[in-house]
Amino acid sequence: MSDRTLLQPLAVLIIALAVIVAGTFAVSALVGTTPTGSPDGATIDGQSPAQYQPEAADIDADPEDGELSVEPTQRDSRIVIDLRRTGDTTRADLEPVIEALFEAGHSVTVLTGSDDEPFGDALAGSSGLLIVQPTSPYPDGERDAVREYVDAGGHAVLTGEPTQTQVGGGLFASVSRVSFGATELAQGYGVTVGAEMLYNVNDTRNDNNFKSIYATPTRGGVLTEGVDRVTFDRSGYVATSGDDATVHYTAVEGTKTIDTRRAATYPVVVRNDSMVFVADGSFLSQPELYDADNEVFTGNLLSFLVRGDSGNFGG
Amino acid sequence: MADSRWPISETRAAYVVVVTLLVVLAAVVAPIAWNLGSTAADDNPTVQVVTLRGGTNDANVNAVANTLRNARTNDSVAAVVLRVDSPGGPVAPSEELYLAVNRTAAEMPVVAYVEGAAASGGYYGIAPADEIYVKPSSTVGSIGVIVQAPLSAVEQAEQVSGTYVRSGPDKAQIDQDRLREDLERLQRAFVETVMTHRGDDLSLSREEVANGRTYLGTQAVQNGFADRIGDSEAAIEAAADRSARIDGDNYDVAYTTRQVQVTLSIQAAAVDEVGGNTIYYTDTDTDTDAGESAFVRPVRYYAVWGVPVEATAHREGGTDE
Repeated sequence: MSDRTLLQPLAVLIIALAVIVAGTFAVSALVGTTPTGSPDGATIDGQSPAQYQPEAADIDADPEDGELSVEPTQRDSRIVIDLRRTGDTTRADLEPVIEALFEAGHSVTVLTGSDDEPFGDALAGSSGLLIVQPTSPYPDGERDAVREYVDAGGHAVLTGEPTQTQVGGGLFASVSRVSFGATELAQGYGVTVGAEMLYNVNDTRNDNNFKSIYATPTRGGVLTEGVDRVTFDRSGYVATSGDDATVHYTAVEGTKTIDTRRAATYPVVVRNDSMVFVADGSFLSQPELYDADNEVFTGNLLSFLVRGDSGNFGG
Repeated sequence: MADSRWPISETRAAYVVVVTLLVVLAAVVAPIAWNLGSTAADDNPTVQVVTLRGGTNDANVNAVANTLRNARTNDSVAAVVLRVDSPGGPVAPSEELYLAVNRTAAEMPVVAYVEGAAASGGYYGIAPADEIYVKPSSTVGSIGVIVQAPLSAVEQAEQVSGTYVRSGPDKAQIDQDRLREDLERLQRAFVETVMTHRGDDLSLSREEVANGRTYLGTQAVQNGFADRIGDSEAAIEAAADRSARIDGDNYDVAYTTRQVQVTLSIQAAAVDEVGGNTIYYTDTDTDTDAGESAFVRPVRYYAVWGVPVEATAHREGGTDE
């Protein structure tokens, strides 16, 4: 085999390969494809926008301080707490309230679902009745008993919330709709719970959540003494009929109803003589009890209850 | 003269070898030459279309952020169009997306096109865009944050805290007040981000934005959540118009598409493995070594347009186009 026999095809190979490579390069250059680039990695500095800075994002939480205390001047009163129709508040939830009453020299009777004692008998000789968020109606006989009790001089506080969805705990969480049940009892005193829950989306006018509204006193007296503002976590409003009921607290400006978004001055604590109606049941127990001035308000309510005197009721 | 033992001459045989070699070598070298040529050659500035279809989860946001980083460092990219169909996702990657887009928008025009939805975390990401294009059916808004703290976990943390030893009173505890405070912090950063970038365009107050409502495209153009009605081509043209480096129609359009996890699920899913074009998700709660105690992550914060669904282990795949 001669050198020429080898060299000539080799030269053709090199030239052809060069042409193919150059042609491919040229065609690809004309057509173009997705631009690529190497990541700049560490050369990118971090960003620190103004709205991410602590002074912009951090919030002021209401300090959980203060003391729950009951008026000590009146001693040896007995308070009845009716939890028989209460949805999610237990005796354990109300232990701070019971402790405060005990420390002030008062006693407490807690009625739960398992109590067989007639309602009237339980009320007899007590000075105050606290009913927490009843979710079913009071029968005629018990409504009459409450009326007679209050007429005789006993004091009563009724807390009630509007219809809402509640999630039950346990292994399998259940969701249910819960409504205020003691409508007829409340309406007997010219009040009832409003149709909607309240909310306030203004950051400075809620307790770190739009549903935790603030309310402020509208008049002086035993219910508002020492209170700057309270916060209610599941608050509705009190609808009143007639002139018998007086408003003691209203939700702060900008508070609206959650379904219809109506802004108004909503009453949340109303008193009709010896009956007080509060449109929220969450403030009596933790984690709401010590938020804002809730503990002072709760102390005021308890002091109001121990001042009652049911006299010869049931006797 | 041909040897009688060979059917062809030596020269022809050599050429056969040459042609064979040529084919083999060309097959190897040509793609390399093609890539070199395409990279070096494109003189036209490019509008890079970056697509996010799916939740603003870690995998999707990392991919988009990486593409945006490439766009920033590629001299040929003159503008970016964000083509988005996202209902949001966890807050942490949603913030990452915002920062990546914000960074890019600081260096070149960025125009967003809302293909389906840019809600909650999805809108968080496009808020820094210079212009937002929507269709009548596009959904934007849902500004806000939710926290998912399984009720069972909250209860268990309190009830079973006596069964293990904790180093401090707050360790391994979930407190409703603190959850709300943290949620409020994240909400403030989110709402303020929207107000910072869209405040001049919005006819809504800060409170109305914070309500968390969604708006369809036509409403969004009216209230300032979006700027114009248009399609992706309109967004590309707008991005090109905004670039000082693009003269008229002399620009190329390049697409980078990522399509992962279109369905939204708020649960303990995490990227377990990235193999080729497929991303596997596993439920971290079930992904514990045998013999070790399982710990449930107590709370998760989401910037999402949706409601929690029951958590089940699942696998979903995605492709790069």
